[in-house]
Amino acid sequence: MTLHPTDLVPGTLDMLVLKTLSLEPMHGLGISRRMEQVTGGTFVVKPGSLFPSLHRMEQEGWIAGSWGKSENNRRAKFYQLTAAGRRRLGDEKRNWGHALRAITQILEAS
Amino acid sequence: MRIYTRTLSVFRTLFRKRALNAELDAELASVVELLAQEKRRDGLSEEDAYRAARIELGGLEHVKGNVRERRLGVSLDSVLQDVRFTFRQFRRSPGVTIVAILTLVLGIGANTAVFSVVNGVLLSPLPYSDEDRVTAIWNTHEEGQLALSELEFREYGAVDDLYVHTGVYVPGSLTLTGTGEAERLSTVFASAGVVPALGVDPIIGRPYTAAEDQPGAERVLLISESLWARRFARDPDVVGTTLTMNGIARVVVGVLPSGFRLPGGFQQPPPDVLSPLRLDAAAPDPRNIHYLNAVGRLADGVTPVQAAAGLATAAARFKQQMGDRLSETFSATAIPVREQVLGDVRPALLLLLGAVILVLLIACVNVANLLLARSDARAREMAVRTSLGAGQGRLLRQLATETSILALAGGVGGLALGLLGARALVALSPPGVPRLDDTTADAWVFTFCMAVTVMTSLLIGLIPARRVSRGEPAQSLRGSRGAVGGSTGVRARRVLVTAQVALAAMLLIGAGLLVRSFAQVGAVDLGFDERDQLTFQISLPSSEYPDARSSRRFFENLQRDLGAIPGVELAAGTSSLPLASSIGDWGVRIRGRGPDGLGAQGPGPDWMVVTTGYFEAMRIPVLQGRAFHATDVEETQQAVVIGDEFARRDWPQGDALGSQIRMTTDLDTLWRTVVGIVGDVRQTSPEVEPRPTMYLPHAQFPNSDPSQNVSQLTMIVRASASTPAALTPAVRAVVRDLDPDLALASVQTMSEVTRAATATRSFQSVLFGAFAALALVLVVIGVYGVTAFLVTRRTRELGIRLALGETPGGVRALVLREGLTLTGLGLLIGVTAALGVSRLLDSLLYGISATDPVTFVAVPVAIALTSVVAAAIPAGRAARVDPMETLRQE
Repeated sequence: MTLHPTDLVPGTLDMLVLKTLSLEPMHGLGISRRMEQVTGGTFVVKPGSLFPSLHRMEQEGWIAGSWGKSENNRRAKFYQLTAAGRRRLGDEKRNWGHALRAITQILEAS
Repeated sequence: MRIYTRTLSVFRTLFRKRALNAELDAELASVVELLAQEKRRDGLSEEDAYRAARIELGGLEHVKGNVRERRLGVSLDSVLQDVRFTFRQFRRSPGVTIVAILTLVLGIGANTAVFSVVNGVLLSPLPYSDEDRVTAIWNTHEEGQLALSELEFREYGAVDDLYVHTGVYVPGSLTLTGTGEAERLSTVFASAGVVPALGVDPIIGRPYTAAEDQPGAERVLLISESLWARRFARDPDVVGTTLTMNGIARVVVGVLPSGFRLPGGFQQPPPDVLSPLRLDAAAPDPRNIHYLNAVGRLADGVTPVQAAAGLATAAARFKQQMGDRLSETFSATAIPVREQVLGDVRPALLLLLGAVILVLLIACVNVANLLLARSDARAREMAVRTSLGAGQGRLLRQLATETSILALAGGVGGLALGLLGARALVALSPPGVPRLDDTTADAWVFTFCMAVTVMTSLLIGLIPARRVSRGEPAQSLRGSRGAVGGSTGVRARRVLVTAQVALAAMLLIGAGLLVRSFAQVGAVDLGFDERDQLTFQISLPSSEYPDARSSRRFFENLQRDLGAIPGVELAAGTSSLPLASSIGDWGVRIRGRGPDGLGAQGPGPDWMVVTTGYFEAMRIPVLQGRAFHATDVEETQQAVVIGDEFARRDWPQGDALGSQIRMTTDLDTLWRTVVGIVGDVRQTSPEVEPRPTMYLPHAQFPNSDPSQNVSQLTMIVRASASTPAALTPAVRAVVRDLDPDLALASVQTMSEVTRAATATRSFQSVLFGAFAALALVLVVIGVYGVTAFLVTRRTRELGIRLALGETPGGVRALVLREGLTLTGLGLLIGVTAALGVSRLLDSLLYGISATDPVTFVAVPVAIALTSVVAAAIPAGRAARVDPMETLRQE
């Protein structure tokens, strides 16, 4: 069975971005590339659909953006997880765990 | 912390939009750079790399749009957009906007002003604790309410279990001397039960006790808060000090709270002094004069209705004891104190509130009409926006924003105008409205103003909103001139104008009835001539003037000296100045009639004491016999002059002159001979028919007990020139020369007295008239507006008619007919409604019925004529339409 690039499970984008940023500060494109890489190309997030989420989370105070230099010495806006973002990530992971267990139980009930 | 972050973000979304967007632009540009770099590394040319980068990003503007849509506070932002859009709209048609706002300011302002007064007068609590436990107590008989006599107070007060406290009081005055200039202080003589019955606590000191309210007890008194501040600089040690009033030392026992008034005293300023009435509870034969105002505090569990029933039983018992001396209908009742104080003024004020609400409704109709006109002009804009995908909700919200802003502007302006207006109302209002000085802008006034504003915004927005929600964009876009507005617009307008005319007709009929009543009152023959007299009150202290002889001597001297002032024709005195002082009745017997004199003839005549020259000074005509002479003195024949009404009622054969009558009192025990009959005088009010009246000569009354005397008279000085007020300094000098300890009170010309007596009515007429005029102006604008609109809409049709041979006169008639049909329909509805509700005005009318034909014909005719004028302008324009020009335009 080959894995095709697919859309994200709806509602999980914020969680995945927060998780990605929990390792190190990254710029928007970097986040997109990292997610593609980690999932072995299963999840492809177009950089364009990342920005609404990034900006909203910045406004919520979960991540903080600042300008810096990219690996190739170009100007880019880097995002970094805040304390509030870390708490948020914890909450989202717990919720996801609950949901996943519930779904699994339904699917395996016979 | 989180709240703070979010608030800051919302603030940025709303007000730092430019910075946010610039940052977003920069970020996206950098992303494109980074992407392009990757592509170049993959071997793409410079140009292709950028193109591929943009494609992968997914369209710059699209991304930006998505980001903006997810920002915190975007929903608020769209409201701001609506607001900004609205202001742009307003700037585009400032005339319409200003007219709309001014109309609303007037409407809301008038409502706020009148409500402030209603709130202060009718809604705020009385200065008594548990006011629903307090009632006034009255006798009742066929002519209405009657004050209590001492005997009746004893009887009613003794009824068990109805009241915990009862008390009686009489207004009067005392002259304060010994501390600077002599000052006449308004005083209420009240029995000890009055203060506890009203549930009032002195702010310092204590009320006086029943023991201190006995004849012979040490003299005590309570002073008002304002007297305390004015004469004693709020010195708390005033309690216990001794004041000399009317020449007698009296001890202050307490200070009453500010604004303290008796239930019967709300039309006047609060009294300065409350003094014991000192009735002799044990007197074997108390005076049987009805002069006591009574109040009581209900016992627990007793309702005012039960109290009234209990008093009626007591009155019936009392009547039995008295034999046949009281009339058939004599009874007693309890009236809740709120009703007592405000009952008379309530209908007028509520009516006024009704009138301004009508004005506001009419104003709303006009504004709705204006908005409708603009929504027609914008029909295309709305259609375009709908076709481009603006949801109906969004359009409605835009409309709601617009009307809300208009209403809000009207509300703010209306509040300001209303507060000013309320002050003006209080300042201009005549005395006679109780508690008018309690008018203040409190939270209720603001709440009312806000509620009216919200209601206004709903009213003016409703019809234009219906248009939007029904809108058919395709029709508007197809866009021939005729289609704009559609038939719904025309119908809505017609309904609006019809409603407006109906409302205005009701208002104008109400105002017309009041103005007609005022005219009727003004035309009443008062029975005297009010020109050229200056009047003032003098009250003699019993310490200096202990008996009838001393007070007669003083008043004779005063009369003589006043008469000697240059420019004075003559001076006279009376115990009851018409339209100014109260007057009481007294039972009399007629010599030669049954043992009980008048028997069933009706209540006793009103009585007053006058000096020589009184009838001449007031120009009251002597119909038969003579006026009093200087020869009517103690030792001569005891004389009495009676009014025409009394003569006709009790001497129907016309033989009153020369017959003899005697008052049923120990004070005046000799038979008096009727020496003259004079014309009837409206003594209490221009609107009250003259009662049977008798005049007793000051030189002969009372004739039994020389220790009793009439010590307070109103002097009347008739000027030979027509400026009586100019005599004031000379008059004061004369009084000072006779007795420097006397104070003049109520110095006013007789014309001022009569004006004051009709002031309330004139004020009412002016106010209603003003509101009615305002309504009429609004209606003119409304009728003009709708007719003009119809003409514009039908220009082409009218052009064709003209081209086909219709005369300009015919076109004019066509348009006029259109306008007048609406007015006619509105008038029909309005007049019918007015017929239904004008009965509410009944208590305010005088001399006409609530369905006064003059008013009910004149008002519709006036409105119809006004509408003709309003419709004539657009009709004239219609007649001048150039057929060729219009046809070419299409």
